[in-house]
Amino acid sequence: MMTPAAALQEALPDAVVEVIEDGTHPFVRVQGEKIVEAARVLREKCGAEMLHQVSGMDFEDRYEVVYHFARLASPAEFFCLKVSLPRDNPQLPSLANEWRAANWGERETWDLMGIRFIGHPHHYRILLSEDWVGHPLRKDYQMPTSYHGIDCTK
Amino acid sequence: METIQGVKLNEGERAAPVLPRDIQSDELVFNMGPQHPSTHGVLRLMLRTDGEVVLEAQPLIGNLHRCCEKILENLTYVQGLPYVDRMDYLGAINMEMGLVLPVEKAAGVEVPKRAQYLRVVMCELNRVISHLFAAGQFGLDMGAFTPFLYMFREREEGINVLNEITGGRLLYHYIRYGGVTRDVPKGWIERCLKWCDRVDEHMDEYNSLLTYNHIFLNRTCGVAVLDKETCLDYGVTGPILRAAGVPRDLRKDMPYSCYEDFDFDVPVGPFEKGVAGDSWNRHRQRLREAEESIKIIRQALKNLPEGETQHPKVTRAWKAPAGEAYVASEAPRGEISAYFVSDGGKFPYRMRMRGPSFYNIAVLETCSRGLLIGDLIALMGSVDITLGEVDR
Repeated sequence: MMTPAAALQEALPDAVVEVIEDGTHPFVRVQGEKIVEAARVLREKCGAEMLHQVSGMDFEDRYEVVYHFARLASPAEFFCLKVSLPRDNPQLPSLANEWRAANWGERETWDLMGIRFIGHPHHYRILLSEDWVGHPLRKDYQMPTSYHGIDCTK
Repeated sequence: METIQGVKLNEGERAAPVLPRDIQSDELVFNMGPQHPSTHGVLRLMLRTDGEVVLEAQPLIGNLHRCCEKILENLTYVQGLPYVDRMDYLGAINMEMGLVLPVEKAAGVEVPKRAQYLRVVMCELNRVISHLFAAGQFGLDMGAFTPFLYMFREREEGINVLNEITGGRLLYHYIRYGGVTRDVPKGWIERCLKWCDRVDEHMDEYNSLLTYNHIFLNRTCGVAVLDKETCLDYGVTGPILRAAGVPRDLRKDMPYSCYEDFDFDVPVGPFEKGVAGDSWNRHRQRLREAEESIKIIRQALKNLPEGETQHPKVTRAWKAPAGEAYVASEAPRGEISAYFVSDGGKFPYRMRMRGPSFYNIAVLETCSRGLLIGDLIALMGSVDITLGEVDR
């Protein structure tokens, strides 16, 4: 079975931005617009059967979406793909049509981190109510002082 | 492919009785929950039904949302630990395990062997208690009240065993970065083993009262089948995935905390009755796993190594150096994992938690189509969700 870095460099050499293969958390950083193709390569060449987790990250200069895929067959392993996104209007193609696990994972990332997923079949907030303002997991999020006339400061 | 009133059924799914053609029926949209007794918390399901047949069920979650991840970013490492107990309040120690493992991996902390064994004992104790609760609750949902009381009897004693060592009955705050908070008290090991014997003795009783009860079998066999492909597609893990016939158990596949030292089996469906991935097999899977957990507890207590229970460098004011890690572990309801990123500061920079129930419950959208409303209860009861972990 190929390593994700080798498989991606062979199949999509232009899309690979950064490869870290040692340390506690190996990952491959790919271009945002190629994420669907990259995920397909992991599924076909590396045996990644399950999308384990979708995480939105806020670093001061950029946003990141981090995907963790799981290979169930022996040797079981997690693969990580990262995508860097600009500070203004972060968006990337949705994986929800490839893995249905991405449906809720991406909705949660939109809800709490404010990253848009183009082509998502049901792009709404999931945990917060529809009229909520802002995305709480962003580092510059301001806590509201009231909600529908209810004081939240006490 | 069989269809019922225009809704395609998954393979192996049972078609609900169709209304005679001359009866006019109307579609009805209504809410099930958030205050419905069988939704196990504050889950709201938006149902579109035709008579008794569910055409569409949409889970609407978030009633219990506290933004656990934001809370963890604003607390020091030690302060953050009790908060994850509140995620899956029925498997609290397993949640703590899910939080500490990636941090320890990123920081390169080697946990003393005795602490690792104690962690295993407590995790498995909590798993047995959680599975007993889930099985009893499922019987209750299916109209069998008595088995619930029998299982709660052993659960209650198990909670007392945990209480004696941690000081908590539901939320324990036992595992700490670099070790565990307390060593075992005097005589505790014997009392714990005695409890293990009791659960083993009563396992046949549970099975004859509930698992092989004819009414229960008719009610759950072949109902709400979740097949392997659907599970993998939706990221469903834990007993549900194993009941569908996938031998995936992180304790075997990617051992953590010395699980490789223990000899235990991974039960995989289908079992004696029903088809792989139906409600009955999910229930049977939990009770079989509880038996295996008892085996692990016995081995761990027998071979409990001597020594420290806490890494000496990891103190109250400890903070992780810059780094990141992703580690998953096996909680009662599936795979709990955390993606941990540290910038070397006082607080974790980011702690992304995966609640297994969050992904398990998403499957309701697909799996509930074409079921009777009564069978939807069987589906929800056998999937066994905790809303604290869905909403985090």
